[in-house]
Amino acid sequence: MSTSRFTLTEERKAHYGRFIRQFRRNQKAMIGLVIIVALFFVAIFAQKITIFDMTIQPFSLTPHEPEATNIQNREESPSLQHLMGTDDLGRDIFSRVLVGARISLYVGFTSISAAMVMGTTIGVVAGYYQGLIDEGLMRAMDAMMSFPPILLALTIVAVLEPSLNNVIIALALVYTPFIARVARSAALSVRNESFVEAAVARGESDTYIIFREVLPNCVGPLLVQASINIAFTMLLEASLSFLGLGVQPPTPSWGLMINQGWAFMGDAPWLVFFPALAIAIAVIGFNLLGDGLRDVLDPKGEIIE
Amino acid sequence: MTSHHRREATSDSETEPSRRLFMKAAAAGVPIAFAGCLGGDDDDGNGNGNGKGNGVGDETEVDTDDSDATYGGEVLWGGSVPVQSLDPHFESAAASARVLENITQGLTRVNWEYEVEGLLAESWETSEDNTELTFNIRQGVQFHDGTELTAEDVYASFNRIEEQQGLAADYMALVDSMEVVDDHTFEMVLSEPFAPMLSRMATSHMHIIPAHQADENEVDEPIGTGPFEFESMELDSEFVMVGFDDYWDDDLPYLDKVTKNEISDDDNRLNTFNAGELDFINGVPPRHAEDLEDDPDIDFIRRFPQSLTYLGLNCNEEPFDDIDARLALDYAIDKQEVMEAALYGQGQVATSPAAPGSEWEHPDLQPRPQDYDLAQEHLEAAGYPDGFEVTFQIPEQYNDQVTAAQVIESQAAQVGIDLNIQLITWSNWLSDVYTDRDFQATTSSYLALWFPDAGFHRPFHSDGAFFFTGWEDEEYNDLVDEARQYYEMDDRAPLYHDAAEILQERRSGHILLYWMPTLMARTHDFQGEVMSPDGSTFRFENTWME
Repeated sequence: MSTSRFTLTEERKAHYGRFIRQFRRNQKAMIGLVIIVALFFVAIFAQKITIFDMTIQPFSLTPHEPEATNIQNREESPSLQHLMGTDDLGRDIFSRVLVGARISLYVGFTSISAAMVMGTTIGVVAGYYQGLIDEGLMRAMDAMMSFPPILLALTIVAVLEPSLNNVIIALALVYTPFIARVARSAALSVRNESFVEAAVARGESDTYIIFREVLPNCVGPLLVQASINIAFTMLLEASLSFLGLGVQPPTPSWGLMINQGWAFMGDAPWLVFFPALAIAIAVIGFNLLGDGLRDVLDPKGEIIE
Repeated sequence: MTSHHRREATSDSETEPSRRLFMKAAAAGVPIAFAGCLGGDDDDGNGNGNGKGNGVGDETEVDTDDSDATYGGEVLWGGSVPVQSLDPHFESAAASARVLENITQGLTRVNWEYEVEGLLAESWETSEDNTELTFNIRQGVQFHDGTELTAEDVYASFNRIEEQQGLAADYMALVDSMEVVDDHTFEMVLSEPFAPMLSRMATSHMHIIPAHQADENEVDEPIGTGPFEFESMELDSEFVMVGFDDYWDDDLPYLDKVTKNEISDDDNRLNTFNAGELDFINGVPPRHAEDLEDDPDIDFIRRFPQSLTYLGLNCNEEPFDDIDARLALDYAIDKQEVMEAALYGQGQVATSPAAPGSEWEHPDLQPRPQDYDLAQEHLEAAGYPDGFEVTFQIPEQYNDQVTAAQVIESQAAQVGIDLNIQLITWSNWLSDVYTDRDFQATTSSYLALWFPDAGFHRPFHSDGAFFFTGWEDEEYNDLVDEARQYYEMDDRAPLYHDAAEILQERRSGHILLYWMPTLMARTHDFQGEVMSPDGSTFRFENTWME
């Protein structure tokens, strides 16, 4: 028993080694990774982080207080003092864009994590049991997917009333079916593998088989799906905030900054330009990573054997 | 001399000199050489020097001199809010009132002193006890359909408001009886002396339509006695009215036609105007006002009082049920900065709900200055030494309020008052905040406050039509009730001054922020005073094209 487990880990190690080598060779994936690491750096060090009177992150990248209004300096064009200019309330756009990275990543990761937990559970259960359970769960997912994501998210936020946490809940619900579909198809193919049959023959419980045998072998395609969807959640958060249904002012979400800067497009385009650029960079970063991962983690060939 | 001066002569006895009176003098032909100096006498009221020059924040010069007017021509007007419907007794939108002011008329109208004067009523008498009003209806007045105005039409119009529950039905409820004495004499008996009735008669809610139209349930195309008659309307696109040839004032109107292009988008409207396709626009975005003011090719016009923006606090709920919590927030706010941010310095910081610059306004009252130390003291007195957190619901469609809210939020945060901004739709504001009173703090605005009862009774009196903050004060209510009984400004005004002091000292549920002006721009070809003294509607009868 213990030897077989040991060889399995050895085998997995070899897979991971191969995965890392291929990932490194993939240019798209590496560019995406660099962008995302940079985003994380910005998000973490943008501002001090204080939890329960304890300062976890002691210094701040932002040259100005992102929510401090100063109407004497309103709508100033980019300069050394204000790298990206100031907005209609005299707030430093550079500082707000940096802090906005934190909100975008926070929304993206929390909502996708929640969607992963729900979607994977639903998909793997459906794929493993098949039959009526599969039909019931997947038709429910289909029903949710039949709404355009933005419309579904809008409806959910409108019902729950607009706030950051409700945006996360809405995005998690919207992307659950996408994850569930991928999880199900992966689970379907894994289900017929011999090691699953062996586990069944050993008399293992369903829970054990689903979570210890099936799930670990579905990670590859799920990772690809999650890294692509996270870009969409960030975009959708920006859209919701742009429509006034997301993050509430004065919190500097990129979408909200575009929303509030829209009226000034004519004479102060930097109010819109820089947050829009930030969204574009973040979305491109996650898309490149997702594409690269897909190239590397060719679901059938590599990870799942 | 033109008809305008005849009408001026009917106004009441002289009051103390004021800015408004100065304008009247200017209208009477005194040479005008004071452009830009009009703010001089009320600088102490709102002139917390903002380094932007004297003119900003005060009205631009009112010029009612029409001695060199010429006849004919059409004005192309770019309007901000589309006209939706035209039933004068049921339509509450300011955009409709703006055009109705030219089509239908009331027994009275407001003058530049914020007083009511006769219009369709040449004069009126009140009985000893001020409950019987006898109106002498103007002779020789024709409706647009050719019928002649008689007391029967007045009776039918007011009867329609009462029976069909028009917007002014609450006022008609105070009428005991009405009588047509003869063709040109109309009598109204009130259950108690009620001066605001004469002011309300000046609004389209109590305008006169012919008796045969008053019988109809719905009025789509009102027949009035005004200088312009309704021509055509295409919803959200165009509204046209043409000069009425048989208008009772033979000298007016000068214009043949007024065409309103409905252009809701602020920047689009301004660009169309700048491209030379329009003669006149209203709703100039405040942030472009300064550029227009400096433009020698354009007449920029600023008129108060379009609306009053306030910060509303729920006095029935924690924490603002405590006056100290309200005072703490009041002391935390720099109203001048809020106004500068929201209106780019185009407005005036508000001290009371009385129209700025009028005799109704308290001469010395000042808004509370920003003082973080005093704010802290009041926080401690209220039992919140470390501040408190409340939701701050803002109607998202009003850009100035969304901006103001963020400045207030950042100021209040300095003393530990956390205002969590929540942008809500206007319909949610009406249902949650206003109707259900389910809120802690909010912003909104009141329109059409040119007559004092509208400003002092509706939002602040416990029985007021717009009462929603839960702040109740018996002494205040008594003052406003008493003021309703006096018909003369000299008797009434001191009561409103006292009432304004109570609102301030006992920190009512409204922290007043700023007066928003009507901002307009026009080419030099379009001449004459287009604004009505109410600060919100237009009177095209006094304007002409060169």
